[in-house]
This record gives sequence, C-alpha cells and structure tokens, in this order.
Amino acid sequence: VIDRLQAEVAKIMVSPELKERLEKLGAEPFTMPSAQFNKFIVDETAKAQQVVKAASIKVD
Amino acid sequence: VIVDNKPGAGGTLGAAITAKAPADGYTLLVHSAGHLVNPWIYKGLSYDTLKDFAGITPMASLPNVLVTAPSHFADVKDLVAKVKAKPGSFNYGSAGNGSATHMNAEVFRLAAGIDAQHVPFRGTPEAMTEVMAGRVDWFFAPMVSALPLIQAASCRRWPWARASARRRCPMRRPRWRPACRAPNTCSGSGCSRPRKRRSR
Repeated sequence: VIDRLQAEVAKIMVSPELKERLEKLGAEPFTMPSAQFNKFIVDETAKAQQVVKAASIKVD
Repeated sequence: VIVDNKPGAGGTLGAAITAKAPADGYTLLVHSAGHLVNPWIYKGLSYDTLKDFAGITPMASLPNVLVTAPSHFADVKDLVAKVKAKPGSFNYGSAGNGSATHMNAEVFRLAAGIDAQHVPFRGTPEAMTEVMAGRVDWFFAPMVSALPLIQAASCRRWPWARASARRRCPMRRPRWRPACRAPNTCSGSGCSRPRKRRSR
C-alpha cells in the first residue's frame, strides 16, 4: 500500500503543472522512495533532538 | 478525499488523531518538518513519532530566507556584529515553537554564536507583520510567504545558500557567504500514514 501511494504521489509531484505552481510559490517538489524517506525521518528526528538540546528549547 | 484540518500545538493535535486511525491507507497525515521536532519539545504526546507512523513520501521542500526590517541591519555580518555587541537586546520571531522557522533560527543562532530572545508567533503572517513593523529583528521566513514582500522591498533578505544543485530559486544567489557553517534552512512537508500498532 505504501509503495503504491508513494508512486502515485511521485507521479503527481513531477507533473509540469504542479512543478510550475510550486515554483511560483518558491517551493520545489521533493520526493523519495518510502524506505529512504523513513530513514530520512529517523535521521532528521535525531538531528532535531541535537538542536533542541543545544539550544535548550522548551515549551512552557 | 476529505481534508480535515486539525491545527494547533505545532501539529501534534492532528498527528495524535491520525495515529489512532486505522492503518488501512485511507487516513493519511500531511505534516510539516515540525513533526520531527515535536517529540523533543512536547511532553506526554499520546503517540510515538517513529513507531506510530510509516512514512510514504516527502512532498515539497520550502526554503527559508532570513528577513529583517529594512532599517535594522546592512547584511548578515552586520547583524551578527550588532547582536554580539549587545547580547540579549535583540529578538527573532518564528511561526511557533518547534517549527522549521524556529529550528533554522536556532541553528543560525548557535552557528553564529549570538544571544537573542526568541518570540514564537501563532504563524508566519504574524511573524512577518512584526518584522516589517520593526518590532522583531529577524525571522527565517518561508520563501512562499516572504517572496511577495521581498519583491515589494518591504523587508530585507539574504537567502542562505543551502543551494542544492536541483534548487532553482527565484531569488538571486546570496552575495555574502556566512563565516559560519551555513545552516540548513529548508522546512519541509511530508506525508505519513498511521502504522499498525504493535500492541494490537
């Protein structure tokens, strides 16, 4: 299911219409296979932890 | 497709609801980069960011630009010098605690070794308004929101180079290169679905 959803989203994201719309907004399409994305999430979550710790961010 | 907006508490409200939904592929969560920061700043979340969601795909990369009121600083070097000369007397806005605009500002603050006060706002529009009014000294604004104002020259900008090769930004390349390590100034948006809970 995940792979199918990923493939469908990836297809939409490379469509010229969407690309143009995003670029006008100053954003850009950014996709990757779900396995890679899950690793990315783990890595980025770890990075976020370091920043939160280093900057002593707290929510009151 | 039903889009059910559940804003609040940095996206943790929507994530909590999605985490409890059946893992059948019909309920998905579209989240921001803050999703990956929230477990570290919100205590007692009812879900586990890594275990309760399965990532499907990232969707878009949204570069941030550093913006200030036009009269405040000449460039980034000037900003760093002024803040270093008077530590603690400057402030920076964000679109909320744990948001990408906040994290980028913190990475910048740490990399530049400066001390300033963080002012979290409800969202980007509020932070932009305060920067333009000069009540907030700087803000790492999403390009999407900052671009029209920069083009109208109501605030100053220096796009940081996190210029990946694929990035074609509608702005010119920065002329000033930071003396410090260039912070990652991208926020992002991803899409995840609830993962089957192991306990069930």
